[in-house]
Amino acid sequence: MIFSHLLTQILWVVPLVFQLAIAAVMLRRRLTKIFPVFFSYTVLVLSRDIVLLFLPYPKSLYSLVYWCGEALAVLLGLGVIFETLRHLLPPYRFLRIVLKSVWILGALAAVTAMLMLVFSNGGTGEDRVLEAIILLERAARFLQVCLLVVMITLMSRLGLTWHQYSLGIVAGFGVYSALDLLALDFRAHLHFVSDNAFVLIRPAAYNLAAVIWAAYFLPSWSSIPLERLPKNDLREWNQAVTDYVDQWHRHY
Amino acid sequence: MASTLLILAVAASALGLAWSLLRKGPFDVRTDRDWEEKKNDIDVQIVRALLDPNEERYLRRSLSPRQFKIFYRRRIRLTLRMLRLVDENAGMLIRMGQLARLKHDAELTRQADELIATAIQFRWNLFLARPCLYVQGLMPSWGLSLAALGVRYRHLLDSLACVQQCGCQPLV
Repeated sequence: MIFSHLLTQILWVVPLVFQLAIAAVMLRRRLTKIFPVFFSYTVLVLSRDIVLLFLPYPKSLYSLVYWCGEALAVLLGLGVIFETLRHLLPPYRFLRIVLKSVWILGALAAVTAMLMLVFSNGGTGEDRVLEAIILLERAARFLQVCLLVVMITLMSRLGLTWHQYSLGIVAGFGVYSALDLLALDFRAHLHFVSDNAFVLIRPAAYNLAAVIWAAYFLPSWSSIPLERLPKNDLREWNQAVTDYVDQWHRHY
Repeated sequence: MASTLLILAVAASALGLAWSLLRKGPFDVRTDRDWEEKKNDIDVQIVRALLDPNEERYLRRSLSPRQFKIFYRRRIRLTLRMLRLVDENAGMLIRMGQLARLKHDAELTRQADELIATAIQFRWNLFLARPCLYVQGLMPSWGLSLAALGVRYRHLLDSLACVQQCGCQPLV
């Protein structure tokens, strides 16, 4: 019991320390202008958890602060994905249009799937309000994870401008949202996870995300500009693959 | 149950993709020396020979159908492996192009943009070529016009090199 309580406290405090450091680093490096939504998310979660530390549990004020903060955090989490995407899109107008079209299609598919999830699960338990909140949170997480999957796949396939901060943000959210979604589903539908385990798994997932963000934000990344580009035969390779694709076109 | 399966599949994909991002990291190459050490040296003529339809016809004539299938699939596997290695090279070159842009030298920036555009175009063509190769590997005696769809995109992509940069600087 004491161990479980200690573990819960550690899982609560560790990400707070990391996020405080991340917020400080972002302010110092003026990254708040580049990632304002991620900065807002970090500050929101940080301030909410600090406030919760001083509120008596379980009281209605505690619940109010927790759930309002959670709803805002989910919304900002979705906003962070769009913010990161803005930085990842290449500066070529044509490619931006193509990628945006694919992205919008992916987002529409994800929203459709999310709505299907919401409408196919009617509340059956005693606490309808709590069930509705969990269902909405699950749906939002699902949307977040879908958007992340589309985004990572697109960007990785074409090797577009990943830079360390965007990569860290996306990877952290990817791990956290996926684990959180799994925990919610294992608990609510498959009943694989007990309440005691559930209250540890979710913060543990968030801790993992905070560690990933910290690993990408805290070290000072300084890139040395290249003096010249290396010799390469990419043009010939591109021609060879283009010829092959054309050959298919002519042939079939 | 269907929704649970959907959720499990999406969450597992996200975890897998996030892991692949973290494992690879963006910093494959930072200097010329890194490039020389890490680049995959492959002769483009070998892949041209592997993809040559005349070679294919010759093999078809010279070998028995069973032998041809085995041999042909082996060639396709080899081609795919080589293309994967060149794909890695393209990724490293994109990174080097980004680093070169940080120099703020007009000529170097132009060359870097050209290199990045070629690399993206190459990756897009690979995206189209791979399914064709898989189909050929699965059914050596049959073809499907997957690429016909892609050629239109390729023509559009050809304009990439000419497209003006909007002046965005990558964050490094």
